[in-house]
Amino acid sequence: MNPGDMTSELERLHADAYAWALACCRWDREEGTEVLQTTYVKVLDGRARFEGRSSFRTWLFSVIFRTAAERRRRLVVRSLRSHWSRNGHVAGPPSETPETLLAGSERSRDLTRALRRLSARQREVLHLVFYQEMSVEEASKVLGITLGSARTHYERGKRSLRRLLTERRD
Amino acid sequence: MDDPELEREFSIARREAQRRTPEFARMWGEAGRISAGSGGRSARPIRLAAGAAAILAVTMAGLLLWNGRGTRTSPRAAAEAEATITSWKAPTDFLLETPGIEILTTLPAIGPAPPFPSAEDTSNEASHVN
Repeated sequence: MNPGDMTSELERLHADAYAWALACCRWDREEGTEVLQTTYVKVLDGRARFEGRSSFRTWLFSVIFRTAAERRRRLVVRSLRSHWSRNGHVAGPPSETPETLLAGSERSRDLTRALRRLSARQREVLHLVFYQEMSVEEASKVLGITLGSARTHYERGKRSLRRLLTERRD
Repeated sequence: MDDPELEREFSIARREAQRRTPEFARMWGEAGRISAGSGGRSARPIRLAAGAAAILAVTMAGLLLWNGRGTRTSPRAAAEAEATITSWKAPTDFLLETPGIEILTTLPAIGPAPPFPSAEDTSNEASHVN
């Protein structure tokens, strides 16, 4: 794929890629933006290279997923170092920023809150299937898990999400 | 709540989220600046070459050390070292040589029996006492 085609493909997928980056960072807008930015830097540097083994979208989403995971690991290490040295800032869990809370309708905020209560894997699979309209198989490729495991997370996650949304609305 | 209902929920969230997505051009441009600042693709071969050189240096050093160790442990050298160790004498050994040490290191000899006294000798002794 030549650089021009890649740029236009990235532009076409930008909104979905941003939503996926947010989902990987529990809808923390600052973190999600940083993850997507880092993904674009990796693409430009050649650290992430599309070799046509899957669809471009599956490849891009798996790069975003890995970048978010690397960022989480770095944050954990930094927070441990701060804790041990006892003089730095200890990074807490991602919080709901006012921007996140005010953005969107009550209905989509309910959905976000319910998704936050699921396990990370269930949340990721459901986002890829329902939001990004991927098949469960594609989702498993993005997350680097087996199809069987993805199906289990999908079914359990769907059951829990239904229950949480119904409880909230009753 | 069935699957189509869940899909509706997600599609509402999707429509709302798309309105809040930052511009692609801005993020792509910023990524380009970061990439150019960090050396980007041109720095990659240099980093790879530096890594390869470091690995080569460590391998060479390891080989040299290994060879040196092999020379020191040749059979002849080992035999010489062993001989030196067995004939070695501590410089403070003389302090253990106390007077009469030969009693501890030799077997005491009883020696020949004295001559048995004759009858004449016995009578002489008796007259002398009287």
